[in-house]
Amino acid sequence: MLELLKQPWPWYVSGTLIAIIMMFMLFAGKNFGFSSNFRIFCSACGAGRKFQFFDWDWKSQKWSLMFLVGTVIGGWISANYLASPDPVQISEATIADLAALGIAAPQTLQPLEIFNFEFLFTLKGFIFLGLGGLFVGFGARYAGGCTSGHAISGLSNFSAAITHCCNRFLYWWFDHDTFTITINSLT
Amino acid sequence: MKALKFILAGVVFGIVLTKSEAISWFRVQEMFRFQAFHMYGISALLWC
Repeated sequence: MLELLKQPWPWYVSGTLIAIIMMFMLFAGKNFGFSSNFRIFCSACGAGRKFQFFDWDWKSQKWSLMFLVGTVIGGWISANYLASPDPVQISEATIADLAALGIAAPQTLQPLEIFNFEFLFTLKGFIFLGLGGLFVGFGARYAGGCTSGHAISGLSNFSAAITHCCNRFLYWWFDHDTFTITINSLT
Repeated sequence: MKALKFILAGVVFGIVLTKSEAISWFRVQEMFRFQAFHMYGISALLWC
């Protein structure tokens, strides 16, 4: 049983389980979401005294923080007790594309050359992780949810604005190699 | 008690995200390059 759990789970198992968690949230009267925690953190730290956006009843959203705490624990359990012995099995095409950008084939779940502190303190690493993280964090609140949040909750609500957004995003993505190459030539 | 409910839901969610490899940078790259169905399969089930 444990051996079975240790293997990477197929998409239909994970998708079903996440759908069940979403249903639990809906029945509990909550909105399924994650990036809203950024706003809660800022408000909890007192940003509401200076900015109206953060001046709201964040304490009513404590359940969201509890969910976040649980997720971190879940990740820890997976990493320590359920870790797969094999690296993530991405397609050959992706491995070849990433190799062209100087990213080695997966050894674990994440690319080791990007997610490390040494890389963070180089110019390229700071743009990737520091600046990129800032943009993602700001954008996720500005847009009222992160990419996956809108893609999941928004698309299943058939929200017109969000469907439009996803279209724009996919359109933009086709052009993203230009951006990556620009970043690469910086260092 | 109510808090525990959400923590437990979170624990399950964390394990699922890790084991489905949805948190993997590699999986996200693969998804945006349209080179695998994996990530779309996960979200497609949620749209249903």
